[in-house]
Amino acid sequence: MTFYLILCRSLTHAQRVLQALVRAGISGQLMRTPRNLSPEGCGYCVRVAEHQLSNTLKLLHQRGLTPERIYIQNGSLFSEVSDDLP
Amino acid sequence: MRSGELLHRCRELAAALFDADTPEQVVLTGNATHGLNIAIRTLVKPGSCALISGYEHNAVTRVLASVPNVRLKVARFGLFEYDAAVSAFEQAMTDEVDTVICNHVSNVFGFILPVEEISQLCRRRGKPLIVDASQSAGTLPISLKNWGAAFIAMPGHKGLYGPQGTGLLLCGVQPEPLIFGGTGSSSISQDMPDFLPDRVEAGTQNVCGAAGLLAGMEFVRQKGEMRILRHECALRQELVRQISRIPRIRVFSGAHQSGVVSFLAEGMDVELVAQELAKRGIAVRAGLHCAPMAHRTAGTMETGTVRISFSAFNKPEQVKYAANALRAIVEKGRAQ
Repeated sequence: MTFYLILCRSLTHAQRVLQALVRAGISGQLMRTPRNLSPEGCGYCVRVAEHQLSNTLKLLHQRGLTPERIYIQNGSLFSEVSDDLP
Repeated sequence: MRSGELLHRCRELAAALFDADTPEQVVLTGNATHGLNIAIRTLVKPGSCALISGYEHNAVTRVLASVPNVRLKVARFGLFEYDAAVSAFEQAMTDEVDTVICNHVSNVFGFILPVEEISQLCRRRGKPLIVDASQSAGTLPISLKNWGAAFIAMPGHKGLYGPQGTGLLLCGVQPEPLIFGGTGSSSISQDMPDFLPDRVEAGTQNVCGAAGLLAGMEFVRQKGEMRILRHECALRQELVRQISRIPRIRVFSGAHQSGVVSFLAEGMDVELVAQELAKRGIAVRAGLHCAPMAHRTAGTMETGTVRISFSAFNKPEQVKYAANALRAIVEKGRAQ
């Protein structure tokens, strides 16, 4: 299954992102950012399923909760994507 | 992750209670003093000028004294003189003032200061405002947004009914770190993060304390701040009515007063009065209350006062019990 990781600047930011998703009926998972995606060191992200990315991004833009970066996850492979996708 | 969720719920509820735009603006501190240190150290630079009221706690005045060459201006006005307080701040808030610091309620006398009006003056004159809400959080409305304050500091263990060793700092501007260390974010950088709350929350959080604080704030939200205030004020008024009848008791009471009241038993040491009350199960605080400036302003520096402070859990029968106990203590003391 394909997932997207919404990288956040802090745990509090990630918690706000997750809460906004949950309130909009979008499921997500708060997790530590994989080390190789976090050049600054420790970080947090919210993982959402591929089919929920579009609604997720719309919602986050509406709420002013701009993602730091977004990655697509296929198994153990990650690639950065633009936040105006899809 | 679950402890992180709890901290977030604590921030969210505090943001809702104190009208902050985002939970990031809510910094968890060890107490109000910790928050005031962050706030004052951020805004009050060496050689700058700070305007304060004459009722400030050492949590403000000692921090100011630690900043080299700070020039201190004091807005002077009498106890419970609300309108005079507005005028005094208006007059003292001249161009040379860089920062304004004011408590919301005097921890000694329960005097409610005109913070709303002071905040309007600060906005008009472009001065950053730091509010010490130690004695008001949980009983009076506090709005970071409406006041436009730079910082509002408060303890968790007073009107928010949390444990000792907890506190909150509401940030309207970016603070400077007071303590440096790990934040669980941006770990490679050797600078503190430039985002809140991480910027001023180095080290492991007091999660157990935050859980207690969260429960306390939920209690306050459920009861309602104004309802708690009305309850406390009704008890304070009744106590004042009863103990004012005791000969040679001097009570400090007036308009614009919260559920806190100070008194003196003329000819008796305040600490001895407090000890006698403690023997009867009545917990009060006597002396200078870490606020010598407030006592100097009110003219009670030599004697100190005994302070009684009500909470949502006090009952009218306890007022009667306390008044009777005080009468007995005073009569016994004078007979000796």
